[in-house]
Amino acid sequence: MRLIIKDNYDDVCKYTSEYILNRINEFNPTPERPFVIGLPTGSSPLGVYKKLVNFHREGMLSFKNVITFNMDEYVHLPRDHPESYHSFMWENLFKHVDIPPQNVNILDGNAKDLERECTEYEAKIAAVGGIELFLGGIGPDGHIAFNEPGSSLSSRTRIKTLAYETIIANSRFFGGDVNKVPKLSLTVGVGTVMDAREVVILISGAGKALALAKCIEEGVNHMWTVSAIQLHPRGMIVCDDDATLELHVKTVKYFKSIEKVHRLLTTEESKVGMDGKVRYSATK
Amino acid sequence: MDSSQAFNSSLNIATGAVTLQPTPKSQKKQDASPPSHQPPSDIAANSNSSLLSSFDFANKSAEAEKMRSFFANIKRDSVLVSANADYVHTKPSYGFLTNHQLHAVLPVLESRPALLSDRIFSQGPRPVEHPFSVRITLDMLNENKMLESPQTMEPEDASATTPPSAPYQKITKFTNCDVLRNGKIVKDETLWVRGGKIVDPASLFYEAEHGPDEIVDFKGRKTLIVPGFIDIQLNGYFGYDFADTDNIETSLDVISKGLLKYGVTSFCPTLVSSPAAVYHEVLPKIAQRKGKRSGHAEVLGAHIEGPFLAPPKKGAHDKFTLQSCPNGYKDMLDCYGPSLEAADSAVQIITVASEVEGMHACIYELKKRNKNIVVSLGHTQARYKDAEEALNCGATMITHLFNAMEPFHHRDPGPVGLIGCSLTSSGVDKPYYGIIADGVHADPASVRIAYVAHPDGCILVTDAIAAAGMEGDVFSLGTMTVRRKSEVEVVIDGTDTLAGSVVTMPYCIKNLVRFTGCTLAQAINAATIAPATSIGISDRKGTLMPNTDADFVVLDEFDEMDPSAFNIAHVYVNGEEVRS
Repeated sequence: MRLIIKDNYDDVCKYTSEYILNRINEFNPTPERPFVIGLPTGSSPLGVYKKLVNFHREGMLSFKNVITFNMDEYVHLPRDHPESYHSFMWENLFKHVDIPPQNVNILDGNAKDLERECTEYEAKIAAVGGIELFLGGIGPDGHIAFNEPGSSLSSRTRIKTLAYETIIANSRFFGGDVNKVPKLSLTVGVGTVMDAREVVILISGAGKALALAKCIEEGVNHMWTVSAIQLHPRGMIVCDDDATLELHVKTVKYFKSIEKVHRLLTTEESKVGMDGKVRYSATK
Repeated sequence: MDSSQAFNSSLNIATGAVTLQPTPKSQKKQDASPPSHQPPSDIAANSNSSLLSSFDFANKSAEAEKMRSFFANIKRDSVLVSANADYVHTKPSYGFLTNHQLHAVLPVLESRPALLSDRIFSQGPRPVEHPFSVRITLDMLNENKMLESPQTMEPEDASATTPPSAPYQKITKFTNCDVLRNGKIVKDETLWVRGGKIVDPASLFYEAEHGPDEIVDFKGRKTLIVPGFIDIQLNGYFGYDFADTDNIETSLDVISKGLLKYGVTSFCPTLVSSPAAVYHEVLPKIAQRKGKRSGHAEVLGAHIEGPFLAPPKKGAHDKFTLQSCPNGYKDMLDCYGPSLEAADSAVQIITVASEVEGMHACIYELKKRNKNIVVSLGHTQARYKDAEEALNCGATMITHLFNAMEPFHHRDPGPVGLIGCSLTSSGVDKPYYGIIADGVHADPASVRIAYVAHPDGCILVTDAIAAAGMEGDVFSLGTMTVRRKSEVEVVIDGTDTLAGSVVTMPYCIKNLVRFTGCTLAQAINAATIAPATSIGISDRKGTLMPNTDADFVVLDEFDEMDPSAFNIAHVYVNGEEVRS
C-alpha cells in the first residue's frame, strides 16, 4: 500500500487528479476497451472533480470512453432531489464533461426491486470487465461507501441501513430535520471495492485522523472497514498532514521517505513509471 | 366504448364520475366471449344513470364478470370499494361502488382474501375511515388474475420524455456561459433546450439514450443568458400603431419581428382609449395572434389602457373616448365586447382610474369572472384611500408610476403611496408598478426612490409609440398627432404633454442600473421575471427554469467599469435563433 502524504487538501486533490489523468491517458481507452472507474460522493472528492473538469476543459482529458460506477445512493429519495447522489454527480462532474449518458452507472434507489438492482449492478461491473480504479473517501468511523462498522469485509452491493451518526451528520443537507434524511441506502460492498484492480482512498482533515490510524497501523478489522485495503495488491491512500495526526511519527517518516525515493526515480529520464513498473525505452 | 356486451362504461373527467350504462337487451343476456379491454375513452358520459339497474344479482358469476371488466377498464392504480355510499364517484386514484355493487364484488373477493386491505377510507366531504371499505389496486387484480390482460398504470408525469409517436426533437446544449435563472445569476452553467422548451439536463441525462445533438459553446467569451424581455406596455413601433384597426395584422407582424433585435420576445400590444367599435374589431384579431411563436416575439394579450380614465389625467388620450361605468361591469363588457369573457381571452391587462363612477364594483366583478386579467391603476386622480380600496377590490398593478396620476404628497401619497403600503386591510400585498425609465417620464431620483421602496415590484415598460424605431418628427397616436421634441422625448403636437416614448427595452434596462445603482441582473429581472409574475405567466416565461419556454437572449460585451453595459449577441425564440 502506498501512503502519499501531502501538505493540505488542495495538494491532495492536485495529486489525485493528476494521478487519475495519467492513469486514464496511459491506459488509452477505446470503445472496445474502456476505462472503468469507481467514483465517490461527499466533500472529499469535490476538489478532485473540479480539477478533472479543468483538465477536460483544457483538452487534456476526455471521458468519451470512460465508464463510471458510483459507490452508493439513497433509497426512496427522488432522483432529482438536490441531495440525491444523482444530482451530486451531475452538478459536480457529468454536467461539465463529455461522458456519454450510457457510460454512467449509479444505483437506482427508487427501483421496484432493490435487491435485484444490487445484483444487476454487480453483474454490470463484471460485464464491462471489472473496475480498473476505484476512487473513494473515508468516514470518521473508517467506513468506505456506506459500509458502516460491522459490515462484512467480503460484502457485495446491497441495501444497507444507515448508522444513526451518519443520519445526524447528513441532516444538515435536509434542513436540519433528521426525519427527512433517508434511512436506507444501496451501497457497493467492501468486497466490491477491493475487487477493483486499484483502489485510491482520499483522506483529509483532522476528523479522519483516527480512522486513518486505525486503518493502516492496526489489523484488518470490520469495525474500520477501510482496513481491508491492507489486503489489496495495489492500494493507495492520499492524505494531508492533518489526517496524520494520530499516526506514529515513525509511520509518517517512513512513508514520506519512500515517496521521496519514488519522486527521485520518476523524473523524465527515469526508467520507472507512475505505477512503479520499470520501463524500457525502445531506443536504449 | 364497449367493455363487455353487457354495458358501456365511460369516464366523465369534469365530475370524475364513471357511469356504466346498460346497453339495450343486456340485462338477461350472458355473454360467453370475454369482454374486450380497451382503455376508456375520456369523453364525457352521456348521462348519470345509476349503475344499480345494470346488475343482475341473482346471477353471481355474471356479476363477477361485469366487475372484472369494470376494473379492467379503469386506468387508475386503485379502486376503493365502499359499502355505504349510494353513488358512484371515482377520482384519479380511487373510486368506490355502491352497496349493491359491493355485493357483486364480494363473491370475487371472498375467494381472494388478500384483496382486502386494513387501512381504508371512503370518499366524501371528508375522508372517513370506513369498516366496510375495500381497497383494490390494479397490482392486486393483476396478481390474482382478475384481469384478462395485465393492466399497468399510465405514467402520470410526462415531463422530460416525449411520447414515442412524436417526431424526434433536437436537444441543444448551451455551455460555458452564465445563466440568469429564476432571478439569480448562476455562474458557469449550461442551458438545455428541446422542443422549444428549457429542459432539466439532469433528468435528460439520466433518462436519455444520448447526449445533446448540438452544442453551442461560448468558451472564451464572457456571456450571460437571460430570459427574453417582456414588454407589457407598448402602443406601437416602427411606424405602426395598434389602435389603427385597418392594419392590425400588419402591425402585429412587423412589430413582433422588429422587437426581437431589442431582445423583447413577448409583449402586450397596448390600445389607448378608443371608441367601443375599435375594441370590438381589434380584440378578436389580437386573440388570433395570441400565443403563436415561431420566428417572432409572442403576443401575450392586449393591454387595454382606457377608456375608463379620469379626464383631467388623460395625458395623450383622446378625451372624447373617455367614459365612466355607472352600471359597473356591464359597461365594461359593452365597451370591450365579448372578447373580454372569451375562454382564451385576448385581454391581459386593463388600465383603469379607480375613482371613476362605478369602478370599484366593476373591478371586483371583473376579477371574480376572470382571475387572469390584471387590473392596473393609471390616468387617475384617486387619492391614497381610494387607490388602496381598488387594491382590495382586486387591482394588482400601477400603470407608468408617477405619470398621469396625483403626485406624492406626504399627507396623501396618492397611488404612488401604494408601493410603500404595508399589507392593506384585506391582506393584499404591494402592487407591481410600471416604470418608463427614459429619464424623461420620471426623474432618475424618483425612479430610485420607487425602486428602493419596492424593488420586486418594478416592471420596466417602454410605452413606446409608432414613432419609436423611426426617423422623422411627426407621427400619429390613435386619433392624436405627436411630435418628437428631442431624441427621447415625444409630446402632443402643440403642447408639452408627454405622449408615450421612443425608447427601447435595453435602453431602459441600462437606465435602471444607472438611476438606481442596482445590478444588471436586478434590472433584467425588472424586464423579465417581474412582468411575467405580474401577469401570471411565470410558469412558462421569465425564469429559464425547466419546462418554461425557450425564449432567451445571449448578452456579452460587459464592462467592469460600467455595470450597465451589455450587448445583445443572440436572441432565441422557441429554442431557435431568430437573429444574430
